[in-house]
Amino acid sequence: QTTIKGTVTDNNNFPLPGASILVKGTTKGEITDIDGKFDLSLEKIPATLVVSYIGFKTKEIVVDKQTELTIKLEEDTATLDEIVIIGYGQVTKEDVTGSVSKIKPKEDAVAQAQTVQDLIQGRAAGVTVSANSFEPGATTSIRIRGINSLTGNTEPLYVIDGIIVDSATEDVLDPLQGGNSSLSSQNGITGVNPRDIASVEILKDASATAIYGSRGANGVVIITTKTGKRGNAKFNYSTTTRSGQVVNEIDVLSTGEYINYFNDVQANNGFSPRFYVYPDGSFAEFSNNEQFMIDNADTIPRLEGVDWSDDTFKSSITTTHRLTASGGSDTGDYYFGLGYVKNEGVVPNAFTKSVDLNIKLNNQLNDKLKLSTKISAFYGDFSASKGTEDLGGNNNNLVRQIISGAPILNLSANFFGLQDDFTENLDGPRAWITDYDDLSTEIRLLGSLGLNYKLSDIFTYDLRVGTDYRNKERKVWYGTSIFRGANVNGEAGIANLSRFRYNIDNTLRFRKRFNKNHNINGTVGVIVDQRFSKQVANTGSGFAVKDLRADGIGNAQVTQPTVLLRENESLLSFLGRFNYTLKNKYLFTATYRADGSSRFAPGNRWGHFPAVALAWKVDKEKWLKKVESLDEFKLRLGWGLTGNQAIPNYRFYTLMTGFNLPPYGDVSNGAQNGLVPAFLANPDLTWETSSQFNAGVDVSLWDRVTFTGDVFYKEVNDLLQNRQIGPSNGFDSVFVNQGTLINQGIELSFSADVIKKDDLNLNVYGNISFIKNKIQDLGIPPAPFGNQTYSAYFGRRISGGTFFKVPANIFIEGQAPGLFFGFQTNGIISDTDQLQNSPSFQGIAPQLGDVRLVDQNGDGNITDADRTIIGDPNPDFTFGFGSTLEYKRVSLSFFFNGVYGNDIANGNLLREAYAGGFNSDNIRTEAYVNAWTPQNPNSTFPRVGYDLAPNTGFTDRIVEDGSFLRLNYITLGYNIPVEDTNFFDSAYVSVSGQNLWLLTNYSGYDPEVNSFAFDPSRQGIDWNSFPNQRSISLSLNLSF
Amino acid sequence: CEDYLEEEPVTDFFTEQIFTTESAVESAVTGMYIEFSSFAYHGSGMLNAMMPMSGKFWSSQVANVDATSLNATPSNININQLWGGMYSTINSCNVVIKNLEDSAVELNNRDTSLGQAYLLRGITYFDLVRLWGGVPLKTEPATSDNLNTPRSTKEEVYTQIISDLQLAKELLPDLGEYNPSRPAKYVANTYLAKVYMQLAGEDNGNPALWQSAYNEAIEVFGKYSLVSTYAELFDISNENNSESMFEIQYTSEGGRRSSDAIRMFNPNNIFPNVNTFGRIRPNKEVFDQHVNEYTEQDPRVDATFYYGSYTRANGSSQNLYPTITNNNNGFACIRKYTDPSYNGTTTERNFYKLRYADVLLMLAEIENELNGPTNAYQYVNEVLARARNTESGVVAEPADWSGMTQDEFRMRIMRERQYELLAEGHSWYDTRRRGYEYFLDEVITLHNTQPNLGNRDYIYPISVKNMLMPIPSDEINSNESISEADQNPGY
Repeated sequence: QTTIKGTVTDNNNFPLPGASILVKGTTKGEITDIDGKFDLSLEKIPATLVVSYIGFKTKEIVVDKQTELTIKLEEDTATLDEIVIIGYGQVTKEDVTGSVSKIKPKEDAVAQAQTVQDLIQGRAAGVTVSANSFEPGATTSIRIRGINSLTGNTEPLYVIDGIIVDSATEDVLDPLQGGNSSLSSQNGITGVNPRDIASVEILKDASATAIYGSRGANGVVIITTKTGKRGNAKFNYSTTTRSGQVVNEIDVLSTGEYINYFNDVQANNGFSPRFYVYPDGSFAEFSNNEQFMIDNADTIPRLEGVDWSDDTFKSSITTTHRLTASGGSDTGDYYFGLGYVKNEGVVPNAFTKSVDLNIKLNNQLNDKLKLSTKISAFYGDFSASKGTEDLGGNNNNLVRQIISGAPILNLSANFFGLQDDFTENLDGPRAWITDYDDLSTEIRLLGSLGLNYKLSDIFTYDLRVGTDYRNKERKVWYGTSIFRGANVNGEAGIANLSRFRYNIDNTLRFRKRFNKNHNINGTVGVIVDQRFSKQVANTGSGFAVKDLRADGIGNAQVTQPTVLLRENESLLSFLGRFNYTLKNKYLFTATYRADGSSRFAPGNRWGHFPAVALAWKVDKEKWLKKVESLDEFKLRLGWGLTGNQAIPNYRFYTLMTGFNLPPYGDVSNGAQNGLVPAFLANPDLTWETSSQFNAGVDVSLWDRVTFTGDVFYKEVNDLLQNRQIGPSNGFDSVFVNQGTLINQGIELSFSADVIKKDDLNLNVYGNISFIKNKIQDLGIPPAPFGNQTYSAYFGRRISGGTFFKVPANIFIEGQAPGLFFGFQTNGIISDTDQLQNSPSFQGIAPQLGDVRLVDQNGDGNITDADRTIIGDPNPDFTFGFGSTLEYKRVSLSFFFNGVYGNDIANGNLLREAYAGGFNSDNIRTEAYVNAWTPQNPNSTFPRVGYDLAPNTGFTDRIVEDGSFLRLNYITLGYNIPVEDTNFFDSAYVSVSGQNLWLLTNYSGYDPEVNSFAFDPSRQGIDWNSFPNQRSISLSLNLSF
Repeated sequence: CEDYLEEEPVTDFFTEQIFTTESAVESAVTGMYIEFSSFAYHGSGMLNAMMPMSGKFWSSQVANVDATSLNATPSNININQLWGGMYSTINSCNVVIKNLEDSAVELNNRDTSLGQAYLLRGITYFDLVRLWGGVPLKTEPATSDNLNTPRSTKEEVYTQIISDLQLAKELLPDLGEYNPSRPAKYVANTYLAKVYMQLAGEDNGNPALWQSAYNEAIEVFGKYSLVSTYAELFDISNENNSESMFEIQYTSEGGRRSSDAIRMFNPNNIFPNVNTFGRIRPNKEVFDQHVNEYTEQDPRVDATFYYGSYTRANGSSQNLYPTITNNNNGFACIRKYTDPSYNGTTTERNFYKLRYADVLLMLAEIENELNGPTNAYQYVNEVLARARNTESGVVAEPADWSGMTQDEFRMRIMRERQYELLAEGHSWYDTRRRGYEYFLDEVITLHNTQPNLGNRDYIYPISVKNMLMPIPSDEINSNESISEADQNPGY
C-alpha cells in the first residue's frame, strides 16, 4: 500500500479546492481541501487517477513510483452543463451571483418544440410565455417577472451566440393598414432551430442583466447553440411527425336550432318567420306567408345545413427532419445542422414551411488565437388564414365566421362579397379559405465572427462581430367574395421588411488569482450596435383579372403611393464587470454599463446602469463541511439598475410628414401633396430605469436534489409610456416618461432524482412563481372613473367595430396594471319586481329578460359613470412541473404547466353568448336554450332579442377565470439496441401526445391566450383567437 | 462619440425646414386641407356621426345605432373619430400659423397661407362649438408639456372664431387672385355671417347680431352666381362652378381613401364591381316634407333622391321608399354624390362646404329678421327660380314666394334650406340654431309622428341632450382637465 500526496491546480498554479480524485476501476476517491491538496492510499501500483473539477477538463494520471504529485487541470469552456453564460462572459454554475435560469433542452422536450419559446414555456420560474394565436407562425410573447413596462415592448432581449437579434415584436408593415383592421403580427424570433440549442439562459434579476444595460430591463434570453466535440464525426438524424385536431370547440347552435332561434327573433319583433320548415324536415327561406310556402313547396329551393367547424377544420400534420454533423480535433471543432419543417395547420391555408442551415466552427489558430465562426441561414414560407384582427366583425375573420356564420350553405347572410360573384363555394369560412391570402416569406441570416486572443495569462481580448439580416415579405389578398375585397373589386397589399443589424463587441477579460484566498476576474468593453431598417409597402385595388391574386398588384386600377420607412438607430456602450472571490466562499460581482442611445435627444442620451451582487457559498464553511449530503448551499443578494428605451425612433424631433396621406385635389382634378405634423414630439424623453433587488438561495443535496429560490423587488421609474392623451391635442397619444411600476415576487424551482440507479432513474422537477405588479405612481391627477376617483388612464379600445368598441383595461395608481373596467351585472331581470328596481341603460328602459346592470351611483340610469373594476388579468401564480422515468431502455416523461388566478376578457362572448339576433349570427347553444323566457324566468342568459350587448360594451358577463392546468406533453421513448450494428451509436424512438388534457373553466378555445400580446394597453383579451390543437407525434433520433 | 449617436430621420421633414421656402409652405397649407377633408372629418366622420344625429337621416351602421336613435354614447366611434379629425385639423393650422408668424424668412405666400390657416381654424372651431358647445381652445401647436386643456366657455370659443375669421378676411385674396380650388376672402365673410346668425338665434334674435350678419353677408352678394339648373350642381363633370365658394377637393389620385361619401350614400350594388353601402339615408319625413311642400314636383326632388326604386348594376330592380317602408330600402337614398366610375377607394367627387345659394338663403333669412319679408323675397326667389329651371325647360314649382308674414317667412326659409341644401352638411346646425323648441317641433315630433314608420325606424327620445353631442370618451378618459362631470347635459 502506497500513500500519495498531491495538489490540484489550475493553469496558473492556483490550487483548486474541491476537485475530485478517483482511482480508476474502483470506488475509492478523495476530494481536495481548501489548499487543493489531497492524501490518498493506493492498494496497488501502478494505478490510474481520474482527476476532475467543474469547469475543467478531466485528466487521467498514471501513478507508478511518484509519491508527490502536482496535477494541473486545463479549463474546459465547452462543458456547458456546468458553465453558465452570463453575457460577455461565463462562469461556473456555482459562481453565479445573479438570478439566472438555465434550460438545457433534452430530447423529449426538443421533439415537441417548434420554436425557442416552446422550449421555455413553463420551464423557468418567473417566465411567462403566451401566444396571441395558436395558428402556425403566430407570435408568442415572453414576459420575465411580470409586466416591466407600459410601452409597446415588454419582450426580453434575445442574444443568439453573442449576436444581439432584433426584438420579437419586429414585423413587416401592415400593407393594408387603415380603417379599423390590421394584420396580426407574426413571430420576430426566427432562424433558430430548437434542435440546435445547447442551452438557454434566462437572466432575470438586475445584477445579471445590468451588463446588457439598456437592453436588460425586460430580462435577457441568451441562446447558445451546439458546438462540435472533439473526436470523429458524429452524425445525427432526427425526424418528427405530428398530427393534431382542434380541441375545445365552441358549442354553437345546430342548423335546426338556429332556424328556431331566428324564427323566434322575428316573432319577438313581431315579424314573419325567417325560415320555413316543411313536414319532411327540409327548409327554405320564408317568403310572403305560410300558405304561399305550402302552395309552392315544389318550386321553392331548399336550403342545406352545415356545421362550419366540421366543414373547415381538418387534421394538422407537421413533419420535421434534421441532420447534423459534428466533430473536432485538437485545433478545432465543427457543427453543421440542416433542417426542414413543414407545419400544416388545422385550416387548409394555414401552414409554415422552413429550411434552415446552421454552421458553427471553432479553430485554434495558434497557441493564443482562437477563431469562432457562426453562420445560420433560414428560409421560411408562411401562410396565415385567420384574417384581420382588429375589426372583429362577422365578415372579416375566418374564426369569427366558423363560429358566428349561419350554419346554412349558400345563405345570403353568410355572403359578404359582390352580389354578382355569388357561388356556392364562397360563403362563410369557405370564402376565407379560397379567396384570402396572407402569405409571407422570410430570409434570415445570422452570422458572427469571434477572435479570442490570449494576451497573457491574465488578459484575454475578445472581438466579436455579430450580424443579423432579415428580409421578410408579406403579401395579402382579399378577393371579391370577401367584404373587404368586394368593396374595391379585389385588394392586394405587399410589404417588405429589410433590416440589418450588427454589433461589435470589444471586450478585454482578465483573471488573476493572487493566492489561495483572492481571485479576481472581470471584463471591460466597448460595444457598438447599429440597426438599419427599411420598410416598404404597396397597396392596390380594383382588379379586372384576379387570377394572380396579390402578385398581380401591378395590374391594379387604384394604387397607393409606396410607403417607405427608413430608420437608422445606434447604441454605444461602455461596460465593465468585476468579480472577486474570497476563499472560494464569498463572491462579489460589480457591473457597470453606460449606454448612449440615438432614440433620445442630446443631453438625455446616456443611461448609467450599475449593479452589485454578493454570494456566499455557505456549504464551503467549515461548520457545514461535515454535512456530506450538502453539495451546494449558496445565498445570493443583488441589486442593480437597468434601462429601457423601447420607443420608436426620432420621437424627440418635431417633424412633418406626408406618410400615409391622401393628396388634396385641385380644380383640374389633379393632386397636391401635403405635409402634416407627424406626431407629438417629446424632447424630454429619456431612459426608463428599473431598480431591482434580488435575494436567492441555491441548494443541492445528496447529488440528487437541487432547489433554487428567489425573491425580488423591482421598481420601474420614469416609465416610458405611449400615453393616451386628449385628441384635442391633434394626436391621441404621446411618448412620455411618467410613473412608477412596482413588481415583486417569489420564484421557486426544484429538481430531484428520486431514484438514481444504473437502469432505473426517476427525476421530478417543477417551478412556481408568484408575481405581484402594482402601479405605484402615474403622475396623473385624480379624476372620476365610474363613481370612484382615481389617478388612472384607460388602455386602448379593443376594437374599432360594432362589438367591444371600448377599452377593457384600466391603469390605476396603487393597483395592478390593466385591471378590467366595465359594467358589473347581477343576473337577468327575471320578474316584474326586479324590473321595477332595475336601472335604465342610457335612458333606455329595461325589459324583462334583459341583463341586470348594477347601478353603481344609484341614479337609476346606467351611464359610463357606472363602470367599475370587474376583473384582473394578472395571475396569482404560474407554474410548471414534470417528471422523467427511465427504466433500462424505456423512458417516460411528461410536463404540466398552468396559471392560476387571472381573468380573461372573452370578447368573443359579445357575439356568441347573447341571443340578440344580430347580423344572422350563430350563437352558443346555451345562450339560446337557456335564454330568459317568461316560462324560464331564472335563466342565466338574457332573452332572445336582447340587443344591448354591443352598446354595453364590456360587462363582467364576458370576464372569465383564465386559470388552467395543462398536460403540455407526455412522451414515451425507447432506446433501440443498436450496439451490434457497428454503424449506429444510438437510436431513439418516441411517441408523444401534446395538450392531451386541459383543466379549465374557461369557455373559449384556450385560456393560454393573449390576443394583443405585444400591446400592454390591451391585456388579457381573447379576441377572435385561433383554436388550439391536441396532437400526437412520433419521433426518431439516430446517431451514427 | 456623440456623433455616432446622431441619427436623423430619413423619410420625414424637420418642421423648421418646411417654413423656409414658399413651395414647402404650400405643402404645409395643403396639409391643412388634407386634415380638413380627411376620412376622420369631412370624408366620413362628419357623415357618419353628424348626419344621423341631426335627426334628419337614418344610418344602417350597426355600430352607430346609439347615435342614429339619438341616444348617442360618449364612446360612439364616429363621434370620437370626428372630434379627433377636427382637432388634427386645428393642430395643423396652429403649426402653420405659429411657424409663419415666428419665421423671419420673407415669403410671398405668407399672407395667403396665414389667411387659409385662420379660415380653416375658424371654420373648424365653429363646427366644434355648434356640435359640442364650449370646447378646449387650442391656438398653439400641441406640445408634450401642455397636454391637458379644459373646456373653454362657448363665448371664448366664439371670440376666437370671430378673431380668426376677421384675420382670414383681411389676409385671404380676392377671387381670381390665387389658386381657384381654394376659398377666397368672401368665404370668411360668409362664415362670419353664419357665426352672427348662430349667435342671434341663441340670443333671442338680438337685432345687432342680425345686423352684423347682414353686414358680412351683403359683402358676398353678387360675387358668385348660381349655375343654371339645380341638377348640374351634382354632375361630377361640373365641379368648381360659378356657384361654388368652398369646395372640398377630392381626387382619385393617390389611392388613399379620404371621401367615403360615394359608399355612404349610394344604394347597394348600383355601380359595377364595387360595393356601395347606402348607409346614410334621409328619414321618411324628410322626403315627404319636400314632396308635399310643392303641389307639383320640385325638380330638386329628382336631383336629391333615389326613391321609389332604382336599378342595380346587374340590371335587377330594387324598390325603395315610398314604394316600401320596411327594412333598409324602406328609406330613400341621396343621389347628390354619384360617381359611376367609383373604384371603391377614391373619388373625384367634391363636397360643397359652401355654395352661393346658401348665401342667398342666409340673406333672405337675415333681411326677414331685420326688416320683414319685403326685401327678403328677392334672395330666396333667385334660388327658387333656378330650382324651376331644368334642362327640358322651366317648370311651375317651386313657385316664387310672396305675401308672407315675418313668422311664416322664418319657418319657410328654414325648410327651404333643407330642400335646397339637404345632405350638404347643414342639417345638424339648422335644426339646432333656432333653439330647443324649434328642434322638438321640427325634428323630434315630426319624426315620431310620421305615418310610415317601418321596422328600422327609431322613436327619438325627447331630451335636451340632443342639442349637443356628448364629449367623446377618448377626450374625457385622457384629458386630465376634463372629467365626466364636464360632460354635456343629458349624457
